Amino acid sequence: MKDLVTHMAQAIVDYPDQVVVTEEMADDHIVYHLKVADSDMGKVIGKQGRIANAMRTLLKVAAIRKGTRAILEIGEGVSPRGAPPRLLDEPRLLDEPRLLDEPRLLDEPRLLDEPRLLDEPRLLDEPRPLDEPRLLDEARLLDEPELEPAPEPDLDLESDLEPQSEL
Amino acid sequence: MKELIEYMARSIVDYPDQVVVTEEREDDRIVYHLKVAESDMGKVIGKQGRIANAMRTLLKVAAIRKSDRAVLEIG
Repeated sequence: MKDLVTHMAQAIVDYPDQVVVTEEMADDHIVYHLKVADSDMGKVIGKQGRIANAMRTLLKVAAIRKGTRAILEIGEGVSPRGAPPRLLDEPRLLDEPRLLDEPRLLDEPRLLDEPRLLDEPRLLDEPRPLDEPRLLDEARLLDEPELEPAPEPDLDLESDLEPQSEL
Repeated sequence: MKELIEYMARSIVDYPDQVVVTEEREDDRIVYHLKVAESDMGKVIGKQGRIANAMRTLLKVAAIRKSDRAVLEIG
């Protein structure tokens, strides 16, 4: 299978002589490390990892045929132990977001919910009985009587019409 | 590129000695015919043609590197 990986890689790179494949047994599977010239990295990975996945697909089938499992890793890691630490460096960038955890202190202000007791003063609404002055509405009735006198002026208007007919 | 196909096919079939690859120039491209044992047909095609497409992907890149075009036909 090592030869398969080598063959596939050498067929697609610009510098076949720089293709190096190393294998490493790991528990129940074999890990193949593929190293190529820096300028060939893109070629063995491909857009969206299509080339890499194509090689992995074939490697997987070849491994199954031999009753084993195989993993293909692409990168500079000729010495398997050297590669992992480099990967650990990237996660460190993820640690930065942890600073965002500090805002959690803002949750403490939730204790301010106690002021809800201040809502009790709403009993002050009792003054509403003061609405009794509704008696003022009766006063409006006093306005209506004023409307009644209105019809009287109408009579005057009729008298006005008569003069016009005379003209 | 013929060797590439042979190598890929022989790595995944049960009968490597029955793998035969022939090439045929067709205008601006090369057509590769891959023949394997009948019982190995499923292996070189794979579910949904995944294995066949994986081989085609690699073949395509290998061809581009040689400023050529290649097609893989199975059967």
